Amino acid sequence: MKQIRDAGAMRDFHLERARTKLSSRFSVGSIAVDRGVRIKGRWVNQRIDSLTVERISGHSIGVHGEGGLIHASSTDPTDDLVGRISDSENTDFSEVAVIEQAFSAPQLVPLSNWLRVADAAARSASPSVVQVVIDFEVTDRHLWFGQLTGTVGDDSRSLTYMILRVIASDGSSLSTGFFTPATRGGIDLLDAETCGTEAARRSLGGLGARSAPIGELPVVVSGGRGIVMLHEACCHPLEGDEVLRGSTYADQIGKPVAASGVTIVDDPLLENAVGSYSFDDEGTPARSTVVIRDGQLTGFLTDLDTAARMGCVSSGNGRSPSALHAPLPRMTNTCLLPGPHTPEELLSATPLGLYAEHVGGGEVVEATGRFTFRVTNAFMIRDGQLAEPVLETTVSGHGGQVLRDIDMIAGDVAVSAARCGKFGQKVPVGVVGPSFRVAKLLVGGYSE
Amino acid sequence: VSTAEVVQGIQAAATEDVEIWTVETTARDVVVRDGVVERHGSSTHDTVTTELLTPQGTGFVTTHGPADGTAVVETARDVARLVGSRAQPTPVSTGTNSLTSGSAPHEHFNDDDLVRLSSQYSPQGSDVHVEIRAHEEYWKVGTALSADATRMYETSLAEAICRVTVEKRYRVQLTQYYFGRNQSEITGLLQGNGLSRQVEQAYMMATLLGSPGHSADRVLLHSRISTRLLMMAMPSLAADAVEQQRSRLANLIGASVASPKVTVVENAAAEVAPLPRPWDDTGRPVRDVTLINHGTLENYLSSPRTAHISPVTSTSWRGVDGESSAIGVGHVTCSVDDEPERFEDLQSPEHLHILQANGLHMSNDVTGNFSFVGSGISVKKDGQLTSVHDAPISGNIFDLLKGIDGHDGIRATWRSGNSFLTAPGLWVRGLTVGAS
Repeated sequence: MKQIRDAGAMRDFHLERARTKLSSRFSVGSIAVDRGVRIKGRWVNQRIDSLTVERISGHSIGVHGEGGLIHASSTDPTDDLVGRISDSENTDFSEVAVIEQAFSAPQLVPLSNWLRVADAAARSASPSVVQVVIDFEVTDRHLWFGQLTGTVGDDSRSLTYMILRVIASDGSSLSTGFFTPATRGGIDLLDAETCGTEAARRSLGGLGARSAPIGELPVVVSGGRGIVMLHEACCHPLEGDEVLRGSTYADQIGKPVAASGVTIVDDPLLENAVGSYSFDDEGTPARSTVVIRDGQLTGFLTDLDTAARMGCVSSGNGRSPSALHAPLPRMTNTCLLPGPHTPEELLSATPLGLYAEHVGGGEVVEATGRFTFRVTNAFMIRDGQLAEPVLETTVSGHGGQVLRDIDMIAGDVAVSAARCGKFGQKVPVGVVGPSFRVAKLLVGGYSE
Repeated sequence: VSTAEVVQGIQAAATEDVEIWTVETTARDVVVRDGVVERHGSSTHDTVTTELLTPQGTGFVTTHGPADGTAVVETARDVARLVGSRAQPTPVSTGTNSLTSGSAPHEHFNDDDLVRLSSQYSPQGSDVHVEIRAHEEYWKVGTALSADATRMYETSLAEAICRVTVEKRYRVQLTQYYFGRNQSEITGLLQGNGLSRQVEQAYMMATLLGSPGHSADRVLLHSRISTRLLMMAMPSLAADAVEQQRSRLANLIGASVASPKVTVVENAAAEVAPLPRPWDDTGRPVRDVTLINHGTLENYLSSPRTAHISPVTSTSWRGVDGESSAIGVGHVTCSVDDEPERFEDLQSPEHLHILQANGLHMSNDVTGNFSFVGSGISVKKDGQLTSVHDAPISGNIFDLLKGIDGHDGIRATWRSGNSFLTAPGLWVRGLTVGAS
């Protein structure tokens, strides 16, 4: 009896079967084996309120042919996925024994200590801090890949992702400070005290906030997390499936789509950014893609399926939350390259505007380019200086116009993180770049 | 810091309930656009969860696949190791107390049906494009509380995400989710007038001249939007949110919290519930729980931990990956008294039908303030129809509950995780509608 002792051997076993049984019908395809441990939960009322320890186990195969993509996946290592696709299921598994070792056990003590320290740091910032809520995820995964073309590889995917919400009250108003530190690595890479203090600072700064003004205003977007706006507004329509559906950029390669000086790179090779990897989820080696160079559209983001349909080579952007989901073309780390200004110059050049310190979730209609996103921590800019805080508000616009309206870019590059949802699949994405100014965006509840 | 300290409150759980929860899921996906099949997916996903249900609210869960006896034992060992030697949960006895929720047998979407549906509105060269992303799930669930028998049931869910794009005077994309228990229900919804109505709405938005301003006092929120808004109010109905003073609806049992026309009922096994479930995910049998009865708050969603807040304890659910159970919605139905008022049948001037919401969000559960960018169709005083594009719209979810004064009788369902909410399109007052 054949014995499979580890995930790499399992990858090889399935890949060999796929080559034997499927290569005559499909020239493009990949195998993935996914193993790991994920700890996630919520800290509230100064203790862990809920906790899930999840042992990740899955494997999948995806092939592309005339009928489009066919993807099959299972948590059961003995599930015959190749057979499922070739309509000859469970033909020769009786002679296989899987005796794989379990992934390493989760470590909870460092996590608990981190949460306690962050909570204490936030509370020590001011007696006005009344609650600290931290949603946490610490994941340690390893994936093994193989493609029908012969490429094999494996990749570690550690992720620590924290969402801190510090709530402050001055008796008459409530304010929530958001901070989302994350890293492609262990929790030791994030300083708990700094994170707790920063979330508290944002919360306390929002006390006494007033409603956002109404209408079109210049908006200065802070570096790092603020790049979520470019991710939402400008880059989703660059994903291969949306391009194939006729997105606003579908026929714009080589044409100017942004202000000069704007260069945006999708880069999965950045150290410690949460969207980084060595291979995408289809086993294509990672590489950076310049999607906009000095205002000119230069590239799209593709997976094996959309690349085959577009007649090009995959850019290595096939991503999925786990091997159980079929990969889609997705962004990795969206990077705006730095410009010549300082953050102070962006403010001083703005007589009246909005400073978006923390940007929440957003949404874009890919076919039209219209987008909306939340600004969860913001201040007015008056006479070139930061002024009073404003309540959470909505900013909306047209992605193509925003790119043309970026008129100042600073050099204060920061690395931050977000979660991106697409057709129900959420993956971590890096948002990397400096502060920048958009000449006008629609801010607030309504416009005159 | 010891492991025991890390899991403070857990040690006491050695004498509390231990639950073993298993689910075997099979799922299939088909994506069709303009009559062409673009992708097929199939997945089998087994999960075993072992959880300590503690009065402090702290639980430990581990998940595995496949859901066989070995995994059950290993998860139990994991939990025991995590909580220290005082807690040694053992797999509970299995029993024969089985039940099937009444779902139709497992059946698959038919590619030919989807191809025909997606192509009938988008012949080659057309300015109408229809994409259907069909998904079906089939679950076998076992839930076992210690010193109790294993309860088994089978259930199913089918959904279709339909994205209609029309290129006329304006380019419009209108997306709707359709939910049912099986593919027959979804195909029926689409073949009925679901998809044709969606295409018609998108076509009108794309062809009618756009209006720069809107002053409608009375607004009809399409059910694809009303369901999302109402779902955002549900956390405030959770007893743990009440206990932790995170709910604007705390201490309001018996008080008026909504329009007297509005009734809200939780029942995960309701007739119209997709993914019907006869037991909640902590093994308690579900039943009708009237949360709001003609505007009056009657109950909160609750669990055994919060029985002192609200006695109904069968509304705890796990996340999509079997995560630790939490109080929440299984399936909620919102109904509104009175005969339906269809947008197209009304004679009253100046009303607005919001058909699409982009970026819908609520700042936090306590304030209930929400905003989104809406698009739809407006009727002016002179009866002229115009399209509305990207109008900023804001309001407050608790004010909206009180401002509901009618419905259009066209129901939709919204899904958030494994929670579902069904409601009709709602006529509401009190929204701030800006110009586009």
